[in-house]
Amino acid sequence: MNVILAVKQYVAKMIEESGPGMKVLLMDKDTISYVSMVYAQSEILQKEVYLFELLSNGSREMMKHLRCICFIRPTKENIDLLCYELKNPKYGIYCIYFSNVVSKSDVKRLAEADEQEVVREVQEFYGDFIAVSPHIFSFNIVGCSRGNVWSTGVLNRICAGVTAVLLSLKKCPMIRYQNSSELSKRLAENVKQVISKDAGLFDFRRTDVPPLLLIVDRHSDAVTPLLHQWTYQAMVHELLGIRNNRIDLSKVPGITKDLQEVVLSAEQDEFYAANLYNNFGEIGARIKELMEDFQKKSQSTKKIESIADMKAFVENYPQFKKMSGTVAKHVTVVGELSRMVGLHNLLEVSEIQQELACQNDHNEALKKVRGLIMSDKVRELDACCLVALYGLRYERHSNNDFMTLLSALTKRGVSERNKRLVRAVVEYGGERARGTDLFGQNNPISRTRRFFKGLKGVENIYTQHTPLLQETLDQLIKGKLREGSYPYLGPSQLKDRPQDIIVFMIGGITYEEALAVCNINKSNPGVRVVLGGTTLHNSQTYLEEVAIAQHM
Amino acid sequence: MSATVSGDDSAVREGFLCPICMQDLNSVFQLQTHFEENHTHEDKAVLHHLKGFLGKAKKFLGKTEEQPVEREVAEADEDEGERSPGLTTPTSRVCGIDDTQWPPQELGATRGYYEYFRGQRSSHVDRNTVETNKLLIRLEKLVKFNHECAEPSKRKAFEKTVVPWKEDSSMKFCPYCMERFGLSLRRHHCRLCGNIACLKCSDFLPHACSENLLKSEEELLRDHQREQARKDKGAEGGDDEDMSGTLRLCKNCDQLLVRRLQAVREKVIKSNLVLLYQRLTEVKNHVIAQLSVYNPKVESLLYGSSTISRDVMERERTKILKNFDLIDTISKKILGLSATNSSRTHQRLIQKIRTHCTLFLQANMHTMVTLPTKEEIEKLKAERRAAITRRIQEEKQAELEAQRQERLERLEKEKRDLKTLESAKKGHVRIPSWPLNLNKNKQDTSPTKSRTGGAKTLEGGWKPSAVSQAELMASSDNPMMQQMNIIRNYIRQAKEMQKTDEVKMLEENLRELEMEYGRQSRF
Repeated sequence: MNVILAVKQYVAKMIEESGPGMKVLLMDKDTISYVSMVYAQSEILQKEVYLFELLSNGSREMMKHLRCICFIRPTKENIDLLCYELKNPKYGIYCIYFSNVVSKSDVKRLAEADEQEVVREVQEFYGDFIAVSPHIFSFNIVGCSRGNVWSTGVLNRICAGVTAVLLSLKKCPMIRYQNSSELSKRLAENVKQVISKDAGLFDFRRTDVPPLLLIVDRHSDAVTPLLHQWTYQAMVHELLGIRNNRIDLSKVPGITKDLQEVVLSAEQDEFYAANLYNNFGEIGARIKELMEDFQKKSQSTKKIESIADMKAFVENYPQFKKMSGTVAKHVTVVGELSRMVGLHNLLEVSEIQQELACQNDHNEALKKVRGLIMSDKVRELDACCLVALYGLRYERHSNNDFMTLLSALTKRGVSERNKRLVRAVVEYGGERARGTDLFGQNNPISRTRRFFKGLKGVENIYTQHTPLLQETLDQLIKGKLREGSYPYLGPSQLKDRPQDIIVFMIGGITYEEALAVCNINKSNPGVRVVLGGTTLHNSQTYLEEVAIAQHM
Repeated sequence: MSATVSGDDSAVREGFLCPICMQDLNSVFQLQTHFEENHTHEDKAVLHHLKGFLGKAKKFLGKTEEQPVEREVAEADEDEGERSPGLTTPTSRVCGIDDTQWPPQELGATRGYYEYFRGQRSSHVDRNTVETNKLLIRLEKLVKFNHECAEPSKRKAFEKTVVPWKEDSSMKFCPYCMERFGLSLRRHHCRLCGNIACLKCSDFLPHACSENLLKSEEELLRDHQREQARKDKGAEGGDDEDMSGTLRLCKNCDQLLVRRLQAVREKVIKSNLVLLYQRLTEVKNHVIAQLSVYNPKVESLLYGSSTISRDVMERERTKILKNFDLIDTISKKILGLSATNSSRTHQRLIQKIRTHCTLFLQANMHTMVTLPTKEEIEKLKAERRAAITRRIQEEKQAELEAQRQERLERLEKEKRDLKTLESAKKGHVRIPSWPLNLNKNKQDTSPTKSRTGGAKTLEGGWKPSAVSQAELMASSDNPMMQQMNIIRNYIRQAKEMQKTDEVKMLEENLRELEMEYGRQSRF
């Protein structure tokens, strides 16, 4: 159940099937990001794939000596483009792979367009999702719903994507969904429909315990995306923004030209892979180690006296060069992160955020929030998030002072739109919308647990919060997830504890949840969880999501 | 002890042998501890393998404990990772998820449409092929006639016999541009299909084109080569092909014929890039095949194998290096092609091919196992021989040790029960025959090595030195006598090591043996 490997195997298979010779990979805007997430250019270059082209680019040159691997989504637009391409083929041979189920009539159209018999292969390879990590996938769709209704076209896209994940992992699951969410129910029904319509396709070898697809809704946990995270990957996404493993550093003051956009891929970058879930404090130490290691190596390469030295240098040079690139990249990124942490008072902000999310002291929290949002150092975005958090946390508190905080924002000069956004967040994830016990107030057990946790004291005040998803999954794995809140779709139910779990969150996931799932996988041998979402949020994209959902 | 030790090198040995030093250990646990103590630095992968193997064995022994064992192995993996964080590769622990815990993953689901696609296509394409072939036959007839007869009036008549022309009155509009025919827009007949088109929608087929169409593939190739040669000489002006023609064709037929010509050309004429690339691929495949033979051979050479000659390998090596060189030159030649073609995609392609080649060289040339020098090889061979003999010796030592223990136990029994004399005798008869390479051992083992070897075995117990063994063999064939000599030897060694209590014990043994021997000889 490794989604990165799933896509990688598909791509490798395509290249293998197309045979030896010079190859071009013809893709669309979606598939190009699927492939780039799992393969580095140099890696794919070794398999004789030399060119990457977009199908929509009409001004491609005629190169009959190339074999074309065409990997596209079976959209109407793509089929039209491909028909045109086949009528006037630019390459010698075409192998066509659709990333999802294609209709027979479309295949027929293509066959009729292929007058010159250039097509050698037509297949469906279900790599129709962005594999972010081995256990994380996403679709990069922000704004999937408006209120309780799916945005037009998005439901079909997500349903196709989720079924592609199932097919690529060869799982035919039982489905559970969040009862309080209309969106979850719709998606669950659609997925079920696809499975039963194409039952032959989903006929995999039966396992003792059938896999499980759990569909949940962001509405039930509106808090997590508002919180600052202190793990490397999450921080980079929050402060700099990760899009398909790429980070835009062009706004960093004094950046050199070759570092304006860097790639952080755990598949290719060992340092990143080892540290993406480490805390910011540790990262500093690790970077130092990396630097020292690098300095040692660069010093040893400096003294080239004998032939043996020279030979060693030449042999190590590619590695050395790669390492110097890695060092420069991470030093820049971490430097920028720590600059922003200092500049925007993020430690203090994060402390209050965690306190709001996990503690129960209303007056103290209110005082601190009030103080912080008036500080000049705090970003407007952080101020808004703080007020939104307060609004969510103490929505029903008798001394709720949300309105004064909003007027404090006005005083600070926060724009009208952002103030409306703060209200929108409270509506988006408020008690009426969520239907789950997010803060554990109604449940006496979790309330006492919270109390004892408070007595014990916290280890790290910046990482007190655990996302709701973790609790949900813990219950699911123990077989204690309540039927009423998360019913099965259809009559059959799981008798044993689940082993293979695919969770999909409508409205997007966060890197905090990615880490939580990673920890669950580590601490529960025999249980495999894959997490997906409509997108991977940081606080900014989350606010956009909310804005669209609340008709703003 | 379950090992069956034999002097022969090639004999199959079993028991709890250490896979690296071939030492025999008595039990799984001893083997495991031995391995962890002595070989962890050598090869972690083997250790893992061993652990996995043990895990499997354990599983076989107690199927009920299946899960804990698995967990144990997994934990061992994790420990490994924590101990050496720098060594882990991203593939083994991507993003903190340990894939080793997850079952291996097969290729995801796929569904093929090619059969259906081909069925749909062939019905469509066959029509086109038939049509094109028909046109070609007619074209051939017409061209032939044109050569024989240049009179326009006769030609028209003949053209009409090849394909019947459509009646003028049947077409009021040009089928391609939909314009109405009239005085200003005349009707024209396609000479190959007989259909009508307007002036704009029909054209003369150039002579050169019709000639090329009727040529066989070989002729086309020859033409191409001739032209290429002329270009190489620098002669310009070969390009003014005869663009005039006498055969009028409609758009449809023109397209079909042009396409046919293109397809044939593509099949026959290959650009320089394609030819060079083909050569490149051949050389690359050749090198990979060579390396797959060369690398393991050198490795076994490094291990001290004497069956492979270094000179042969040296020759192999130069051959491979030459091929690497060839790859480099070809890829540079391909890079040089960019001068002739200015298109950007083409240049990108060429540069990528060059990068591909450098990557290939990096991956394969630098991982090529370096050939040891002659002196190194001699040293390696000697080391290996020494290792083998030492190993054999150690095994024998272990065997002897076992016998001694057995004997001591029996002696003790005898003390208790003096009547069972014969049984003691039996225990002494089983002394292994000494292997022939005992002498070799003396020659090859350098003094330092034999000393270290001796020290190692001293930990286990006293061992009869090789010389005294040989003497023993020569001097006496009475097992009792041999045993006594061995014990005397032990005593000497023990004295050297100044282990008084051991000496005392051994002396007691010897006395008992002497008494026994005396009694036996009296009988």
